[in-house]
Amino acid sequence: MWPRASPLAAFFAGTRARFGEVAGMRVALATPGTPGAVRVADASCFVRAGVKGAGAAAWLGEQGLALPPMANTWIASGGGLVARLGESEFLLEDGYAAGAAAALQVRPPRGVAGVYAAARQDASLLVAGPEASAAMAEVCSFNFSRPDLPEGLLALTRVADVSALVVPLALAGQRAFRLWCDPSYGPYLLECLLEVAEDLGGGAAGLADLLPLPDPS
Amino acid sequence: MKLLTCPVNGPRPLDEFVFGGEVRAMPDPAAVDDAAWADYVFHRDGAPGVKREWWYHAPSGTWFVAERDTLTDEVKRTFLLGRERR
Amino acid sequence: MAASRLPPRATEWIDRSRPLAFRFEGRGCSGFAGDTVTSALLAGGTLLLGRSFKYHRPRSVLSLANHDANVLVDDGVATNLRADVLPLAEGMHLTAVNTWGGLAADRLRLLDRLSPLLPVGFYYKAFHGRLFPWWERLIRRGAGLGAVNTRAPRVKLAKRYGHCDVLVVGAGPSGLAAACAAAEAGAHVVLADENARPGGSLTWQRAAEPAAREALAELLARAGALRNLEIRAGCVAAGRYDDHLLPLVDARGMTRMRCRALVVAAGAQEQPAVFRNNDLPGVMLGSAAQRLIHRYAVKPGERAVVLAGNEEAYDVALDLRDAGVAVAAVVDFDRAGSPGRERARAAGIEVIEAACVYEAHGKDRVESVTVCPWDGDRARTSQPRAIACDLVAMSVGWAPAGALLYQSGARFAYDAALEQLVPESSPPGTFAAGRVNGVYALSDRLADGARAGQEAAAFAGFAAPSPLRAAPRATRPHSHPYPIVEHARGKNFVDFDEDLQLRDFAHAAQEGFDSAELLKRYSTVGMGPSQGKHSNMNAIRILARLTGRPVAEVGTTTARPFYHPVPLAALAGRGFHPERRSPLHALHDELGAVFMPAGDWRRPEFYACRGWSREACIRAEAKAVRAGVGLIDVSTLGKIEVSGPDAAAFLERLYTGAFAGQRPGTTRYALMLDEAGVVVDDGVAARLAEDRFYVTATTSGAGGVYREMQRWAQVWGMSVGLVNLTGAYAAVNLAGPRAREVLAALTPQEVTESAFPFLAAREAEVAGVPARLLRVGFVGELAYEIHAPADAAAHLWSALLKEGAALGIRAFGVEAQRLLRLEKGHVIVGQDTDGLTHPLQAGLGWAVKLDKPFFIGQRSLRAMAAQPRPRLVGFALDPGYGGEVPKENHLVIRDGRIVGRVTSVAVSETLGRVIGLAYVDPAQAEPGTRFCIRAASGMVWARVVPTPFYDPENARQKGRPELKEVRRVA
Repeated sequence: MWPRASPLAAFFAGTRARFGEVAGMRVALATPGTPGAVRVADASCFVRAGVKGAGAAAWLGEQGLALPPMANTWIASGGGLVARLGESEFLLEDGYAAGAAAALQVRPPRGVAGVYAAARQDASLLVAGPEASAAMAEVCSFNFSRPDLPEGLLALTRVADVSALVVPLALAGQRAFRLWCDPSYGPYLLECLLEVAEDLGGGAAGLADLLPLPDPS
Repeated sequence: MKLLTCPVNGPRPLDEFVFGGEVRAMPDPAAVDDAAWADYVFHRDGAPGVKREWWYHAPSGTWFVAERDTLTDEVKRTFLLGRERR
Repeated sequence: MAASRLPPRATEWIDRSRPLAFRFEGRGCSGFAGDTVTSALLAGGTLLLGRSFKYHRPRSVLSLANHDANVLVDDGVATNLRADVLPLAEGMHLTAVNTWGGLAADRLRLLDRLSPLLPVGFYYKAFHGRLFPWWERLIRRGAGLGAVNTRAPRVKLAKRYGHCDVLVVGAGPSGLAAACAAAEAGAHVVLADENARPGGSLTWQRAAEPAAREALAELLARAGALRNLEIRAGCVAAGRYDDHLLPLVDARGMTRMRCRALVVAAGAQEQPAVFRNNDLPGVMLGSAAQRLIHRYAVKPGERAVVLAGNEEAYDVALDLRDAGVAVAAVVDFDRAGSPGRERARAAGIEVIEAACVYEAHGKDRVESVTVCPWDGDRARTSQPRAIACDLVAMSVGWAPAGALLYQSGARFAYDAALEQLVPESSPPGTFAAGRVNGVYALSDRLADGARAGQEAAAFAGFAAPSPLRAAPRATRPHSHPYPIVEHARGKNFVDFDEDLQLRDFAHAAQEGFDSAELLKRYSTVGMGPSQGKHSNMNAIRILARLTGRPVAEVGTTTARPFYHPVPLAALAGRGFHPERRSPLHALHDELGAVFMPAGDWRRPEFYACRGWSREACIRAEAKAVRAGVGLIDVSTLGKIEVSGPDAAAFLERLYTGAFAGQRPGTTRYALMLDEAGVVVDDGVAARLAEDRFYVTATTSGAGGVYREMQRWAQVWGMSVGLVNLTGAYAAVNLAGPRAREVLAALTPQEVTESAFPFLAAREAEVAGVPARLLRVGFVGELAYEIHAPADAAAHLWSALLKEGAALGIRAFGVEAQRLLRLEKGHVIVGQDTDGLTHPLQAGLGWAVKLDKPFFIGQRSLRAMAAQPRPRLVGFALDPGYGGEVPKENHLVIRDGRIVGRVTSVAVSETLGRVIGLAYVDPAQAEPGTRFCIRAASGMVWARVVPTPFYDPENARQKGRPELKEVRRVA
């Protein structure tokens, strides 16, 4: 395996973050300083796999995977998640440990009509902190604050004028967000979110600052 | 900004969409004469009324059809091609 | 001192425990926290607050309601700040705008005497002919507002998106009642009000009376208990856009608020009376005097005359009397009795019936008025009566603050009983309540607000069990139908912003500008900073009279956003300018890349070497590719995987070439046309398997190609899977005669000519990375395009550079690549083609299989194939040419006519010639023909040359340079 590089590596290389390796990717795990109101971490390291096509749901089911039943929802899955993007596209992402996405990378669907592997190389961010929702409201018109927001909802929308997948989630009892976008837009999106975060009293964070590493024992 | 309802992703502001022109059936290229073909390629009906238009929700890559009254700019309904429900 | 601070009162907004010091026009002043600049200045006895726009007349408070366009101040950073609402802050240094030599000594006040020379339409009449420069200088100096401080620090305000079920604009009794009703129905409600505190008229109209105070306390308590009701004070709803999007602007920035339903309870704006010198400091709207008293505890004068055109005037008189102001008289246009009049008389106030203020007197402030009998139409000047006063409070009528309703598409009609415009119909989801809706009595406004709030909540999906009924509109007029007094000597102002007098309207009408929209444009009425908020209604009344039509028929002008000026800092806010970066961006940076924009992308134009010119760097890069080996980042190429049983058939329909018979492991050129037969994109289609293609597209075309693929797959109902890998895959092109040596060392794939020939495609590991390898020939050398996952790009790039170091490998940029491909005569879609180019013109006929059953553009191409059109040819300038080198887009001229243009041109060191591509007349397209290019300094002769210029047998890119000599351009 080659050393995987995060699309956001250049920014974090210039910080005083403590780095570690997750799934072969060097990633900023911890940053010095006190937690701010909005914290933005690079979550690009997690292993991802995509499957799309009219037969995708059935095929993934045959592989023994539990799937979100509705379009534009997601479920937690073995430390990672499975997201249903629209009706017939799926994003699998592992957590700190290898899981379904890693397995699918090794054995992608091939030669099955209506089931197509969609390689994922997203830049991914984790936005957390007490003002995370306020930060998102500066860059995204989607209403994540509505009180009747369905559980497990995700949004394919625009963030700072870039197409992105946004998953609202609860982290340490607070609303947080995971964002995925085309890796080429990653540095730009990170810059935008950091500017907002800094204006709201926050900044860059290490991934493990927000999403603690699993207990080694 | 105007809202448009993507049949898959729900109502979204217009800047999430790309306009794809009017939905028009291509005449059989083998059967039409040059004039009829040129009419298909180059002419558009600008008269106001309810038009069927292609719209593309860019973040999700969804093409769909919107029925829009071009006089009032009111979108009557939107649906995925072939999944039109009366 | 005219005005002074009153003893503490229960209604006041000021905090007397927090005195604030500030400077105005260089003078030290003081006030309290909670003051506005105007209230603090008035409390300190300063009445002259500004100069008018055109004549530089002295001006002071008019509305104290965010419409005092003649009292604009500059704080050193921002300008044109409205002092009537600007919150006072410690240490402010303020000056009045648009003066020459300070406010008091303004030298331009002489313009007032010249006013007969500056009639309406003056601008249009003066701005031509020889006098133009003279007038221009005069006008630029004299007229205008504040000067922009271009050295001010950048102010960055937030711009955010907001959402609510019901937005209520206006927090008076109607708005508060509406917001409470909607919130009690379960809706998430935002209530926005431009004032510093909610309460609306309850905070200034007889605000000290128990009825007002109890009503306000009750509403605020009710609102405060509702957790789903958010009150935003100091917040202007600046406009209404499609589907209920309203920008809410406050000191922190702008919220783009999207609501499901909108309640407009913005109230009514008090309108001035028109009489001579109605602009003198000390003449103000009754509501302004009331705001001063109740909100800021400022006594607006010592001796007042109240000009009455409605019942509210008597509230003004009583509020003044209660504040210790001597009310010399109420001058009432009308004769008929009213409850207010009886109350005033009972309080010992003189009421002069059927009379008007004919004229106010004074130099820099009002000292007295002349009152004349009013015969219902005009003043009878034979019986004047002088009354000394330092305050004239005008209370003659109202105009609905209906801008947001207009912008929503509501229609207004003139209610003759009320003498006011009222909304006649509102579009779905928009509801009017309160005075803007023509409802005046407090109890009626509360009921109307509750009704509107319930309806809005129901529209947003929160239905109430028992809907309320609409409250009645007022049946007696609250506005005088014509509070306008002619005067032979004029200076009876209709528009204070623009210094428009009554006679200006007569002139405009005489000259034929007699519709509301024309009158506005000719006279500029309503075009000043207050946008007609206190002039349009009177203008309509005047125009109606001048043209002998009822007010209802005159109509109003269009109320466009913004309703109120929005600071540029709020509009600019945070801007988004998306930028794409290759995963190799940081590595390019380390190599000294000079970046250039390519669509959203930033690409290395070339790599700078210390001490070398740009051209020298580019030449060195090109030379490395021709002589050794070079490496370029082509990650910006579009990359689309097309899979499935119909994949080949799909590409056959989409592209001009033949793909059905393409063998797996090979690539083919892929040219895309639109339905008009115009070239729109090109790339390479690599067949990876029977049912799987990997297709590249141009950098700028990638997004559109993928989109069109998705659409056609649906329309044609074909079984294909489309995956856009543009960002997910990085790509580099390893090119040059020694490319094979570099690659061979890093891959288990056999790279001999027989195992991996020209135009082959392979999937293999390179430097341990699973990659897709394409043997392509864009730059005309042995070359491998290596496509690999983006997260492996840096590793791959570094491995290639390291392996090639011994061979002198060099990274090359976009400029070198453009030169190299030009030497090969390869066309760049979008540079060498345009929106009209069909492939036969551009020499791409070889890539078009016209005999296929169908492809997009085929039918159009058939129709066009025989038409004579400019042809793209290669050209060269004579050997040793030393003149000006033509540039891209220089025109090709034949017999004095434009027949084409240069699309690409470069000095080729390899060939020792200036070469290029150009569209020429078909008659001049044969090799050897000379044609003429119009360069900047004159005509340049060029000769048509067959392409490729370099290596015409393509031996080098086929990896067999030994077969042929490289033929130089003839």
